[in-house]
Amino acid sequence: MTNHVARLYALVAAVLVFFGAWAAIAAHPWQTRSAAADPRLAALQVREQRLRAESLAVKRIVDRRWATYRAQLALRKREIASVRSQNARTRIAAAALASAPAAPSVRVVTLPPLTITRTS
Amino acid sequence: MLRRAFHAMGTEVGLLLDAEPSAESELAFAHAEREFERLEAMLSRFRSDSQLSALNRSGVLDAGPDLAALTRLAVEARERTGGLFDPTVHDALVAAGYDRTFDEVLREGHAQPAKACRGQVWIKGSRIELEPGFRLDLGGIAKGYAVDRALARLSLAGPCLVNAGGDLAGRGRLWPVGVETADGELTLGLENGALATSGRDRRRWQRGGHELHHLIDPATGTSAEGEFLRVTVLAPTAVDAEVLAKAAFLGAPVETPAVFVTTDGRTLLKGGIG
Repeated sequence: MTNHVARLYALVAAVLVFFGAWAAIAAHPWQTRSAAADPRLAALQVREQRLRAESLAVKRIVDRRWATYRAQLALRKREIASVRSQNARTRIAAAALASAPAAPSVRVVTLPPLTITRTS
Repeated sequence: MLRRAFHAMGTEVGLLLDAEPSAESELAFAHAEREFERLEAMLSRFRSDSQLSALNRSGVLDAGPDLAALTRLAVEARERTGGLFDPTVHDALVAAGYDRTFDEVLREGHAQPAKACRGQVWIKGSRIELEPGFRLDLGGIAKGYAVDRALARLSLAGPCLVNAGGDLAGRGRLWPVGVETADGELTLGLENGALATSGRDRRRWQRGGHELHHLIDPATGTSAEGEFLRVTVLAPTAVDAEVLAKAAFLGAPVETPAVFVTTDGRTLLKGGIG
């Protein structure tokens, strides 16, 4: 009888020790301590901060260049419009000149005048 | 015959178009009139916002194509006429009293000392630079330029004539044009060319008891004197006619057809007229 009780206590104690050890192992206490001290993670964090700063700088540069490009594009469009307008005027003048004889002429006529020239 | 009249460049402008009324003729009239308005806004010395006024204020300007082209034409005309035509008469005109639009010019006043003309004008591309102390007046030649430009637009719709207060050009048919002479009106048939009249019988005023007018002799800086009252000259374009008429009034020999009216009442037809 005494041996049975003793074995029962021993069994219960063994089960408690087993679960206690399980819980202790499942908590991974060694990982926390080693992670905090891991230099690779610290390096990764530093690199992440550097990349964030670099991306901000790159974004600012891209924004600036985009604004410059848009301004140059607008200027170029105005220049193109001006050249097209000038070309249109030149075509009109050329067409008019092409249809005009080179030499002007004038002579006295007896027709009633349609207009008059006087001191301007 | 279709007609259109409006006021521009300090004078009455008349457009004649030998065509039937149509949308095309209306468009051509509108384009021609708009050309006068555009050039007046750009080339008037009486408008403070014109390109010419900006050039006269600063002495240097990156000018638009029309002002650059016209200034180049004016400088070439000065060389061609030996300085009788001069675009740098601005200050001489102002000193003589023509310091505002002619309708507003005081008819009497005190005489001012004459100003020198024949200032230097440098043109490189579209950049115009004036010699310090000189300003440009493109009044007459600008009117001729506008006539030529408007004629080019109007001629797309048919035979036409543009007359800006006496500076006129016609194309496409014979245009009977009246010319005032000492003996009455003479009618000239103009074909594909331009006529301009320069004289001292209009745009006159008094300063210090003397009669002055708008034709400045660049040699003296004052209103020109001489035997002619009025000169009408034929040329291929209104710009050329304007230049030749002014030079002829100041005594330049003219080989093209021309009508001279002298102060003593004679009419001289030259260059094969009549």
